[in-house]
Amino acid sequence: MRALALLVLLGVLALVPVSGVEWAGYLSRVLVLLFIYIVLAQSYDLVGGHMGYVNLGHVTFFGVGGYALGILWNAGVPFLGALALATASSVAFAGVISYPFFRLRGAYFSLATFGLVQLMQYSVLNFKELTQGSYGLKVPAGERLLPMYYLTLGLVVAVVWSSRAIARSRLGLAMRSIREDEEVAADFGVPVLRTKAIALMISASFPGLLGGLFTWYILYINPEMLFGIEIALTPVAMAMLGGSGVLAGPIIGAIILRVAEETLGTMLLYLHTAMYGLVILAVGLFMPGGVVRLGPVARWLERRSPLAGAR
Amino acid sequence: MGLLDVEGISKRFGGLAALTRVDVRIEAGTITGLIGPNGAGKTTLFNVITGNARPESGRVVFKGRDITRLKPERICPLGIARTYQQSRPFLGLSVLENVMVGVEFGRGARSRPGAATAEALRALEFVSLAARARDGADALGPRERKCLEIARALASEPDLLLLDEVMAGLTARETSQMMDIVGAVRDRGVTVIMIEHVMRAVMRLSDRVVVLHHGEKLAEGTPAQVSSDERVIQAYLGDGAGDAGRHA
Amino acid sequence: METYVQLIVLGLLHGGIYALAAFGLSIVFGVSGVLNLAHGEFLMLGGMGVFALRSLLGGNPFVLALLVLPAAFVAGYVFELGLIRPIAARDERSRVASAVLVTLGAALFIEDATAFVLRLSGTDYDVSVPYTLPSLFVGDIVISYLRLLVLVLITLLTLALGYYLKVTYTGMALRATTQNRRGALLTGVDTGRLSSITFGIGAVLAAAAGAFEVVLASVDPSLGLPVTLKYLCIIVLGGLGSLMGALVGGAILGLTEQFVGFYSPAWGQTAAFFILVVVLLVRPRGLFGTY
Repeated sequence: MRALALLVLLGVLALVPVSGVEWAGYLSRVLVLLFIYIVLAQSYDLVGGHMGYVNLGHVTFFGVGGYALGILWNAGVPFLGALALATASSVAFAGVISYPFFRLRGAYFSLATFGLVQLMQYSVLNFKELTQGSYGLKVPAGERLLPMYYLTLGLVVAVVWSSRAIARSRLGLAMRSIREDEEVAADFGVPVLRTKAIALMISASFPGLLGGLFTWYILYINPEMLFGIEIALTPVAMAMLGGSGVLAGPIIGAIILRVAEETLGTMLLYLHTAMYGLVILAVGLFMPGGVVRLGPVARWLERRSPLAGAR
Repeated sequence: MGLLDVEGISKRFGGLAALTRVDVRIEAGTITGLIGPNGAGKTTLFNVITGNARPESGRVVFKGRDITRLKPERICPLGIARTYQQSRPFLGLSVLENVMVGVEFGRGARSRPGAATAEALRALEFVSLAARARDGADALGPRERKCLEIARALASEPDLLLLDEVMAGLTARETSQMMDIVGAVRDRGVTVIMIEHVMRAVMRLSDRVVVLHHGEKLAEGTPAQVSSDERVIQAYLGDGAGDAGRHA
Repeated sequence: METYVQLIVLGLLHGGIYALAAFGLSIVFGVSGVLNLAHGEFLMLGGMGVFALRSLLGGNPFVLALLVLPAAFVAGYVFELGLIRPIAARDERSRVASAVLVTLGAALFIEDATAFVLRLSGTDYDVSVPYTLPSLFVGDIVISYLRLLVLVLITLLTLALGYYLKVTYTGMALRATTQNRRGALLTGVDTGRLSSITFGIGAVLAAAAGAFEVVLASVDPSLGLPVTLKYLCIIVLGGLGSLMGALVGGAILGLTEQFVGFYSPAWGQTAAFFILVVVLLVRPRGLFGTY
């Protein structure tokens, strides 16, 4: 029953760009942006919600993928190869930073990973010969809305399906036990560091690939776009607003925030970041569990398979 | 050579000597009571055995293998499991999932997929919690949480089970039930070391008792020997040695 | 040679400034259990406050700072009361996520709102208070009296702080709670009020640092978060809860920044971050940590 509803939804979404309706182009563009955020938020939540490590530096995987694609492609590597390498470099990056960063816990981990974003921004700015610094990186042009739409929609399906599969797997159980009580988990044989690294690398693969696609789609990137505060924090805010640790949480949060942004964005020219700040603050203060855990919503969802850790 | 040999273990925390040259031998198939006043180093000894605390000197030998320097995650698969003084179940997980962690990552790892759940349920039945399998662990009361910890530990198929004050805070009837469980654990072939303040339980269940005081082994022997040992009475038991149902 | 001395002086100076503010963050974390990502904003606001007063009233910026500091205390106190107290009571996991959200959200709001106000009032983004004093010549080395003055003030502040922590009831309660929250609760320490006071003190220290910073260099609204990151590095390096650790950590950071920055200005800013990673790999507890 539920599967049928989802298939119908997918079908409808798949038809939007080719529907020939007047505002199909605009809607497609808006949806692409939504899909991008959903992928970022959902992949973030794998580590942030399911494993309990609030990785504020998640966006670096996106940026690494994006810049890697730009650099490699411009250097002559065939597009598909460059894309694969870009994804791989994100995953490798995640693996490398696992060791030092997972020695930290709680807020320390969060702040350190946030520092990582800053570091990446500076690094990209400074390695001018490679990345064009603040001028930004350009890639060969092309009209790519249609393929981008379907690719990102595909990524959304992939990330949601993967999250679900992981949650039901042995790896997911290990991740949840780490979230609950890392020391006890280790005492019962859970390979803690290895689990964390694997989880991080999986969570990096989606934004890595997405970053490459993003560069290809948007034709021009600069450090601010890929490592800026706004794009760094928005996926996290979305996951937490919707409900971290629950499968549907990031999606719900992404939809709510995007709708809010689209409508308010036209009303408010300035103070965007301040707005985000207030939203995040309010969520943290009044509903840290997110929309999904609000009384009535939670009860309605109880009929779904209680996707581990909806607490 | 016993199942577990603790040889000359010393552990300091900064200026404090938590354990000083402690020697203990645990024979397979026995229940050993570990008693002593608060701060005597009992839980520290557990922590050293499980790799959570690194001793300055001495070694821990388990089934003939030196496990002193091993990290905790390597210890459980070798066959040692534990419970905690302050109950630490995975509160955000269900009762069943708690035990599943023991099944999947303890010694019984790599079992066939469906079998894991069955094993977990068996462990829960052993402590009479099978009916609560789908409940959240945070919905359990204190006694049930202790039982859950035991189930989780047993699910990892240990040869040695370390129980840390499982009787604390229980009514007389619950204590008897817990004593039955501990006895049943031993009957299944699992060796037990239990830290306890409830003298009735310790003296009835234990084959041997080890007494720690200020980090040193004060005495060792059968329950009868230990409870009539002058030094032990002075240091810990007081004049009402062997009080029934005495709590911490 | 002179350049090295110059770098050392600057390094210690900036390090000292950071150390003060970092210590504020350290005790705040120690007492309330919440890592305040908005801590750097108090530094920024302190500097902005001095600038604003200077624009309105003119006069000696250090005297103006004395007006800003009490305001900072109140701000910190209220901040704790309204935003931190509600989340400090939550269980550990929830507390961490809430802390990140609330303090980060507050930081972003403060930063953007300040930028907005600056834009409205037509002020430059980068704000500084020019204040010159004659310089001292020792051989070939030039030491500005201004820097000397700041160094002296920092030393006085540190001594006052040390005294306060050792001697007064609140100070001792603070130290005790940092080391053992539960124990403190059991012996009757009013951790709620203590938290608010600690936040107030932390805010004062940060604001003082900001006042120094705006006079010596400059302050801009986006300063808050990068600077908070530096404090974290100092705390990790020096060890949580230790004043000495904060000072030593601050000195090391300040010196590293100056020396690296001398050879490569851009990378100087990232020095803090590299130190963080190295310390984490080598000695997570820090130099003087009590954990």
